[in-house]
Amino acid sequence: MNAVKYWIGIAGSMMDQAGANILVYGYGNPGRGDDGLGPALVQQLQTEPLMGVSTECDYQLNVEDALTVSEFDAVIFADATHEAINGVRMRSVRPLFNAAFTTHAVEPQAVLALSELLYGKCPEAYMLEMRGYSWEVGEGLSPSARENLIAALTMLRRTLPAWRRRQTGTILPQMEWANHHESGRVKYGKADSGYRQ
Amino acid sequence: MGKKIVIEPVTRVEGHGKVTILLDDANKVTQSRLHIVEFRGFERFVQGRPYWEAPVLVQRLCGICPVSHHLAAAKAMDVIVGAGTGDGLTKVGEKMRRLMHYGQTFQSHVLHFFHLCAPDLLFGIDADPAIRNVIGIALKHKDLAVQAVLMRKYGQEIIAATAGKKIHGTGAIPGGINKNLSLEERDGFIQGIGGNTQLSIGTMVEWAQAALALFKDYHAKHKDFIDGYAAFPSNHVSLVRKDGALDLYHGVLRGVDADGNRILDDVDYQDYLEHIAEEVRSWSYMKFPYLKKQGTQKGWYRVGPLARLNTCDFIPTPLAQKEFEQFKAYTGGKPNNMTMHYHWARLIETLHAAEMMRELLNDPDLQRTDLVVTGTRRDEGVGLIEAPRGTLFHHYRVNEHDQITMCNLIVSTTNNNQPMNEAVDWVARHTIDGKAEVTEGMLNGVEVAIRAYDPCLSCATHALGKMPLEISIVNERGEILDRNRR
Repeated sequence: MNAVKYWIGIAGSMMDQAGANILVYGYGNPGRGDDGLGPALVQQLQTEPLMGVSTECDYQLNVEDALTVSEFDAVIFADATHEAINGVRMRSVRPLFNAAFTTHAVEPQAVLALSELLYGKCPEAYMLEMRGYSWEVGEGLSPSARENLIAALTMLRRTLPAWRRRQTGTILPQMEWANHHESGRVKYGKADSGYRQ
Repeated sequence: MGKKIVIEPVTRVEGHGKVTILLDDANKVTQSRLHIVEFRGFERFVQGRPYWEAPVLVQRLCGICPVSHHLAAAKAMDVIVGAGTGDGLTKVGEKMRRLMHYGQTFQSHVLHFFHLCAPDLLFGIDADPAIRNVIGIALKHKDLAVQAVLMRKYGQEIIAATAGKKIHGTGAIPGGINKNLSLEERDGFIQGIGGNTQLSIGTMVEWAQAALALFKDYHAKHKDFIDGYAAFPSNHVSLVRKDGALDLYHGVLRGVDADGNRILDDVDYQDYLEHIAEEVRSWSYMKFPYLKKQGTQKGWYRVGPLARLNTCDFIPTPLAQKEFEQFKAYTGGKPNNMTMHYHWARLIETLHAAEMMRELLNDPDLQRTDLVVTGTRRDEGVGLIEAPRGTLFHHYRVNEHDQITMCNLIVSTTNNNQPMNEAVDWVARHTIDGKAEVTEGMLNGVEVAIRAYDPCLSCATHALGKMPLEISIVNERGEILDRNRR
């Protein structure tokens, strides 16, 4: 089974009905190099919108995003990561009710917890991590980060429509892809052991 | 054996801060410092770029207060394009910027109170960190959390409508703005965004009053803590309107000492270098600004909400003015030097910001179409603004090719550098000194004093996995005696 099927599996678990609303929420600072991966992903999705998929973008998540995510059936938080993952990683995110706060910003788990506490609704949520490599002040992504952006974007474009077609499959809360360019196409394969739970 | 306590980074403070407290063999505090890893390379980054890009470029500094940098840079570029030194724009140009700024101030102050301050007040500074946060507020005080979310959202929507978008807004341009406020947008803000009457300006004013009442009620029950904690005399500096009114967007620079004597007498901020200098110290990346006339030892000053209410003569909106009168009466009209009263001042400003937004939204000038003015080109300009956290300086020089050749920024948190160090020292000497054991509550007490200033260190990238808290107790040989990570 390849990663695309895993994705469809996730989609199936997320969507119990056709036409469910999906939010892709990219965050980060585009002026800090690869920290702009999340906003760049959203920008790309906005150029060719996908039916039923809304986008949101900000420097970081904050408390008001609890209201935003409460209005969707599923949310994909997209952010850059410093972790040495193989390109792109998707993992499920659940509300965390004892999250400690360290900055003015809020983590996805806390946004979900607030959504559930304040609005009685908590969308199924995933964290889409794209590995970044350069974090200095400056516009534009590093070449490797751009590859990861393309990998994530291509995956979303291939799989999001399936989510809305109610395809079902195995629930895989966490997975990781390496991106490999071959004949101008992006292929998705297992990064280490394929996926991890 | 002496010990060193390290709090790194400081929790719920933007960016990376580190506190070190040195103890001698008897656990007496011998030194306490707030070190900050502040990014300073940005000033070089903008060199060589066309000046008209600056208002957008500078937002890359920070994801917390981008609007403040956007507006300060735009004001400096107004000078460059000959559009005056802050008061030469068209009515719609200035008022749209003011609406953007008051929207930013409103949502920033709301975030600080509900997210960073209220948990300490409602649960106590020695409460379990697992509940001493906004989730804890949502669990125990749901109505407050709902208000916080909607107040934040309202401010964010004002920013999006005036700046054009949430990230890297382009609303303010040299000499003016690039859009006005449509009638549809205006009606939404007045009657309720998206038909939600809770997201109306009237509700925002009411909730700002309620937040202020909450603080005042707490203050009445905890006077010793709010009045005495980390209190120390200082100078205070801010912009004020030429007639002495509180003005967060434009004015002249005024400074008062701890007794209220005028030490900076309504000077033109284009001449700030004649009055203010920055000292470099080897142990911190962040400089220490001071008033030249008073010197490095006596010239340091506070900025931000507390300083602004100490320097201004009145607040030009009725509800906030009434609160201001109570605030001033509390100290008999003298400057208020109580650190925890930053929260009180911040909430009065929150109410003022809501009132200002209401006034502006009902002003037909916002629908005018004369957006930009130009004049005689100049090669140097200074833009100042009262950002939520305090006075923000942007200074640029431009060459004949329209490229920026020099940039100097003094951000609000830099202005508050010495005061925050004073606050850390106060807490160390009053709560840690001589104690055999340093508790979680004591360590949070250090941060409570710093958080009163709502520092924003402008350097975090917010990517995943970058903001752990580590508290280490280290002896003088560098051996870690205890470590706490959260």
